[in-house]
Amino acid sequence: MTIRGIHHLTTITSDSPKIFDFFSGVLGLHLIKKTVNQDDVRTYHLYFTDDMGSAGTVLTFFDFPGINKAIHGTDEITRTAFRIPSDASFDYWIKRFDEFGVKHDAETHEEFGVKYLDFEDFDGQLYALESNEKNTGTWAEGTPWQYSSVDPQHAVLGLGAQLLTINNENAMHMVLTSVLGAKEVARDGDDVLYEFDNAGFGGQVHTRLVRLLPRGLQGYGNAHHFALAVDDETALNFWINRLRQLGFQDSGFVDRFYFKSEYFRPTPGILFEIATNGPGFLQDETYEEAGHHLELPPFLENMRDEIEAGLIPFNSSNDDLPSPEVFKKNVSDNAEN
Amino acid sequence: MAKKKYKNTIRHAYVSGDPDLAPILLLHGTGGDETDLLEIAEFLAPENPKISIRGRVSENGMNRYFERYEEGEFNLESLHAETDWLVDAVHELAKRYELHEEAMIMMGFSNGANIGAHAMMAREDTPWKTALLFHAMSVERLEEIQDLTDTRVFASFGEFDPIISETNFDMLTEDLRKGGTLLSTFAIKTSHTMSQPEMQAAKLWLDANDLLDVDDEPEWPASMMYGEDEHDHHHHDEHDHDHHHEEDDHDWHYPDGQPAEDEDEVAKLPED
Repeated sequence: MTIRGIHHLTTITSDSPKIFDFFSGVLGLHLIKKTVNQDDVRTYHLYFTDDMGSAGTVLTFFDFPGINKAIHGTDEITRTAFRIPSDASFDYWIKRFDEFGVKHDAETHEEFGVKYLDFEDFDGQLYALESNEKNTGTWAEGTPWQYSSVDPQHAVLGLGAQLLTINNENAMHMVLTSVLGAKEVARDGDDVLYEFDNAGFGGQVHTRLVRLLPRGLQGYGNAHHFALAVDDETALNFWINRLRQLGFQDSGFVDRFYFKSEYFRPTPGILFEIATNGPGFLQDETYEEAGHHLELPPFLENMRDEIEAGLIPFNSSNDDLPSPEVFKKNVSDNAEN
Repeated sequence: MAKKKYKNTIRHAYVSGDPDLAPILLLHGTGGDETDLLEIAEFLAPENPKISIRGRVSENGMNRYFERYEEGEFNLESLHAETDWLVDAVHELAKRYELHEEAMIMMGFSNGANIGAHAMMAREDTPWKTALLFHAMSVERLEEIQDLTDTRVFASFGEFDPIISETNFDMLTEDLRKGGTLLSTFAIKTSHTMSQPEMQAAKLWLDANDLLDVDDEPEWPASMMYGEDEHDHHHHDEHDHDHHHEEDDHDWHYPDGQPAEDEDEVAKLPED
């Protein structure tokens, strides 16, 4: 029944083609699935993962049409971290970010003794690279995407400690520890680090108590929800029962086809999901084809024409990724608009 | 009579507060707007989040919550339609601002208090269980009144009120009591207007009954909690039922939908 660690993180972007260039082109993640938001089919749902789409390596994007820009604040999933192999990898990434014109901190900083480098995408969505050097856990050690232009020695391994900004310390502490079974592993002032199942950095949640900011406003440039991983449907049903017995507002069992899910709100403003590791992303298309075309789960396939009519198509094969020069130019064009 | 079409836009003001406190819903009197009662609410419940909704009926330019033919004679069709609209609007805003809807306190003056009280008696899903009715009257005698046993109402009455007779005020209190509400009334020698003493009385009433807090401390059984001492947490899994929970009684919508666009006009208010 144990929660193993982070499953995926879902965020909101203003522009799907650009986020493809950013994550597949610059970060070297594999767009393993180009599909739609199953509850709002005018919206793309893009899944960026390691080579084969392992749980714990997955960052996904919605591009809700017409949505406003996010306002960062408290009670939100603030920053997504990606683990890179070692402290030595930062030099490689700083150079790469400069080459592609990605906005990043000049230097690394430490959180709970681990090195991080903060960076942003074109929407001001907050990310960080996190050094895996001191990681003793083994959750979500992904295999780098084999067609990525990133040096495999320095490539992203998977998601790292997710930063949540909260304004009610006790509520989130209770949910993470007493309800979900994570352990508090470190505390530093208003910052607390939790870990699931001795998973290591791939199973960590970092909360930061911030009372001064107003509540964040969801929009493009911030996160939508945060998913934790369980082994199978039996475990998922255990959690559904448990969360209901404890009186959480929840979704009940949802079949997302690529995995099964339960959504619930641990505290106001933040949405969690618990998702099964499988069945995975390569059920309905081959590795070579994955992500190149719009893929729909079987229950939406008969609506394909309508769905496609409501989306702006874009090319998403490896050959379509821009060079650093082109990417940089796109970024600066974007900034001028 | 041709039905008037009103815009679905919810003209409202939202004042953020401590999200763990009971939200205050403000409903103005005829000719007022969503800013009218904010100062009074600030006095009564300074820390609580507040939403204030403008009635969408216009009577010669004066905002109201439902139509009337003349003083004291109401268009019941409009009353019913607008009560539905108002309750739905409150649900929507409570969701948007993530308020503790179950702890909501309605505070209305005159026309706003009238529709607020009517909604409690007429609609099962009216979210507010606590109401402050300043100078309210009965607008419709209902055959069937909702079960109000878990509600509390403070109602004030002006002895020199030219609009609301004592008989009419009594009809309102009689109906509320019939539903089972725990009612406190406050009569004062004033006209159809808010006064300092009744605000003091209302504040005392809110504080004395401890209504401004949300009692939402979860009472989780210790046996179900993961603790420091890692004892056996293997619960018996009852997953032999259908996975799809076909009778889902939870108030929930799939979370992947687009967050509501903030298309309504929100009055921007300075915060302390």
